[in-house]
Amino acid sequence: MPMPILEFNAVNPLTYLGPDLGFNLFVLLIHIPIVGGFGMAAYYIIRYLKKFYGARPIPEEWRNFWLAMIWGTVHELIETLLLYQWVVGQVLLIVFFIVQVVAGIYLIKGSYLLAKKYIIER
Amino acid sequence: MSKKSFGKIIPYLAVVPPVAKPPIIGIRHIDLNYLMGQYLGWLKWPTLLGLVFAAVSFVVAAFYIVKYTQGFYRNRKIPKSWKFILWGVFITAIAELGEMLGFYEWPNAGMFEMFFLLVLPHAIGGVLLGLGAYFLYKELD
Repeated sequence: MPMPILEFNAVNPLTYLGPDLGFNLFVLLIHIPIVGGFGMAAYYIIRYLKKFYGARPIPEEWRNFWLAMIWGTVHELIETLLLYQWVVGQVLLIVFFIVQVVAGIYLIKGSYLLAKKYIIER
Repeated sequence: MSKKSFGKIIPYLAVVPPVAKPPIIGIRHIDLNYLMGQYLGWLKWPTLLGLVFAAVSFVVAAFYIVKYTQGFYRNRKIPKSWKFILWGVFITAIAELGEMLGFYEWPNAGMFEMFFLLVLPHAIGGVLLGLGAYFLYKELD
């Protein structure tokens, strides 16, 4: 059976992984640090940059690293949708692919430029 | 029950629930044609490429962060913030590998892969990254 183009499902996360409510609740709640951790990283990195650089422009390496955290948060959010199958379909997978590639490029570029600017070029 | 016969029984139901008794390790159930029990068709290779790239990007980032911290803090103590960020990135790389296994094994995803390679490292990696960024901000004071 081919994958649907896009479908939304009302899956109950408290019964999804079997009859054990405690286990279902644990797996559901653990998604808060999964998605929230990346969101928290994005939030505090931009606060750090605004505090450190003030009115000066934010350097490219830091801007890329911050954007990687933003796109990483979206990536983790889509993974949660995929796992619980709240959204199923080709459209979601195409969006997931784009988000993964963009997040990965920002992460590699940001960390590479950090190393290059402060270490490799010295 | 094979995935094909499963599809014949409920052809219009998009949700593929996990099996009632999942295996401890489900590596033998990996099928690159299916993701979360859904037949990928033309999306097979883009999906695999995206998942592999995500895992590789975290490994490469961890490598450059090691280079950065070792060089930048040469004779000084590496601050707690960067230690947390580095471990967060590295552990998330493990989670991305676990995600590939679990998603491709579904609905027979192994409990080991799902719990110790996917859910738990994702949570630990996310918390470490979040805390690392928080400490980075706090260390400015």
